[in-house]
Amino acid sequence: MPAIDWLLVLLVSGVLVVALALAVWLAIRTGRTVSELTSSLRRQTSDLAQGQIEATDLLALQPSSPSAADIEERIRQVLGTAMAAVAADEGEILIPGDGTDSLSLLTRHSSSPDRPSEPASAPRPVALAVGKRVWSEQTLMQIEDVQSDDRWTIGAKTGDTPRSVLAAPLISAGVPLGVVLLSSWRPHAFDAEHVRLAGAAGDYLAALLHLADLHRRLRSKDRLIDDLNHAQEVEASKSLAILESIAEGVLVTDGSHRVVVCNAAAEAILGLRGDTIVGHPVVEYIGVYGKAGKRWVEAIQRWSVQPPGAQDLTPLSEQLVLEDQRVVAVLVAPVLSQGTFLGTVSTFRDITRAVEVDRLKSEFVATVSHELRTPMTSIRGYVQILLLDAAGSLNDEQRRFLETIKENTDRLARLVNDLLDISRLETGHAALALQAITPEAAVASARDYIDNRCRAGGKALHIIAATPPGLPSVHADPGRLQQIFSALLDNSFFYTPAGGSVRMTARQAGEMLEFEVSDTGVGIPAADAPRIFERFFRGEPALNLGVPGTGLGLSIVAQLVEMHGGQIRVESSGDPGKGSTFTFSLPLAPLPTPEIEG
Amino acid sequence: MPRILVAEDERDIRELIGFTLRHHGHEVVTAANGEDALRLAQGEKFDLILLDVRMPRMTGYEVCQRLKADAATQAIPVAFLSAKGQEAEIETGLDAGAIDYILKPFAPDQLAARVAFLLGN
Repeated sequence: MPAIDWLLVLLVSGVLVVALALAVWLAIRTGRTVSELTSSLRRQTSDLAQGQIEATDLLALQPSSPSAADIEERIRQVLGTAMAAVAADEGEILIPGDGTDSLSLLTRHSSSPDRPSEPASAPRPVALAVGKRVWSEQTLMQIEDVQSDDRWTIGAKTGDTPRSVLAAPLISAGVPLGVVLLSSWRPHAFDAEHVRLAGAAGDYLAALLHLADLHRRLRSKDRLIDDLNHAQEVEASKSLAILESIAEGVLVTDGSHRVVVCNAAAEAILGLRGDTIVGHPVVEYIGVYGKAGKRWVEAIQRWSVQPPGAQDLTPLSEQLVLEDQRVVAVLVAPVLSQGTFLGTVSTFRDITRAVEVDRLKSEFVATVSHELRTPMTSIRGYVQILLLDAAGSLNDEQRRFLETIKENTDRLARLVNDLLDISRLETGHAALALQAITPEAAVASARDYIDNRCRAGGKALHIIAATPPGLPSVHADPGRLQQIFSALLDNSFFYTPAGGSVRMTARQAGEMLEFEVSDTGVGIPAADAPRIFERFFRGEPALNLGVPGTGLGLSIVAQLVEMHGGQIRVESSGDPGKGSTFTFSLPLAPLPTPEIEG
Repeated sequence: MPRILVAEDERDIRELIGFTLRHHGHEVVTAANGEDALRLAQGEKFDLILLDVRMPRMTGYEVCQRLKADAATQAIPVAFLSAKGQEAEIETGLDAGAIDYILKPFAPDQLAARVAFLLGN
């Protein structure tokens, strides 16, 4: 043996002898055996290591939330401590990678000074192989010597390779999060105590990984919430921008009838300041709008007490007259969600201009019609005087020409009258003087009319007027009722050839009384039937037969019937000879209140 | 022979009414505006006055009111001629003191019949 080796042996044995002597002396002093002492020393060391781990753990669970970097740092600290506790040369933590069953390196720590722990990208082959096994089996693994363990085939040795390996799965709350590997260049470096320590370290590392994961998820949730909030804000400001740009005023109330939204147009139209009315009960403001405002309030209250069904959502339509005489059209609709009343939304439009234009139009029509009457009076008057021979006797030709002029001015007069009539009816300037009229009286005067017509027109038609006895009276304007019959009978007269018949009757239909005028004339072609009540509409038969008329007659009749609250319909097969049947209904006259005997 | 005063600003109608009523045996004096009609009514005796409602400067209503306010002309029956046939106008006319409201356009014989009726009362 060389001299230097002997020296080493002597030195080592000398140290051992001294150590043993110390141990014996201590044992004698404390009365404990050597083995007891060494195991106690070991336990204290491991407890110390454990204590360090516990302390690190406590640091990790501080109330102030750590940053991601803090957690990473602590993971490294715990790894370092665990390595020190088991005297490992290298420690690695593997976490699940991108693919299935792949593991990637989270961190590697090396204890040797010339191998500083630098962030590495891939786990060592040994670590990866062992790690994978541990990951799939989820149990702790201790390898005494990688080289002699035939479970592992290791390739060519590159530098230091681990010989002993301790690998523990990192599981937190039942969820596998990764694998920790502690390795030593020496085989059989770890004992049962190290295994226990590795397991404990693994638990704490798992907790830290879990914390890191929660942290990451919380951050991404925060980001998600931020994004959602931002998107909502953008949407809300878009909606607000839209609301503020529409020309119609919009007012929204909530379930307790307070104003929640009032756009710029509503402010302008109603002359209110949005910031003064938002949050206040809406009744405070619409009370000023008179009867229309009252109806508005009533509608809102009705809806909140009894929300209308989905098919009954007709909005309330009103016209308000403001203090400055402007007219505003308002539509109020309830807002429902699954049958619950949530509030109302109202839209406003300033229709002052439209109302004004309408008024001007009807004034124009009235003025023109009146203006037309003046020259017409002259023409008809002079023609009549001439025809009376009051200005000298006429020859046959002169008479014929004058008759032609008279007929045409009659037509003109009828047109002007009809125009005026319909314009007044449509703009609501004609009032009805309602009375109770018996069906017999109505039909009788209609009969007189058609009799005169036939006589004057020189056409013989069979007239049948039959009213069943005992029918109730109708509620109608007598002049207008005559007008309705006249118009219908004029048509019958013109469109029925000589020898045909015209029939009039009446019957009760529920709450209404129906009058029927039918003829055996040319009827109405199917194509014309839907348009027969249109203003100025003249069907083919009119043109074919050269019937004088303006096309206003039936539209006036329809307007009059509807003003009374009734309805009109026509039935015609369109076959010549079968004719047409017009039926119109009018409401019954209310029964007279019985007089109270005084 | 009954004397009738007619106030009408439209020349053709004025002549038409004049011709018609003369043809039916009345004496007719015509005026083209309200002031002339008033002057004539105060100066001469008439059995009936026909006033067009719509005349420039002084309307038929105003003439009627003045006639009724003047003791000399109060008793003379007045009738209006008008193209406007709405209830409101008719009421206004009758309130002003007229006894009738004749609507234009009228056929001359209708006018003559109405005048005869009014004179008969």
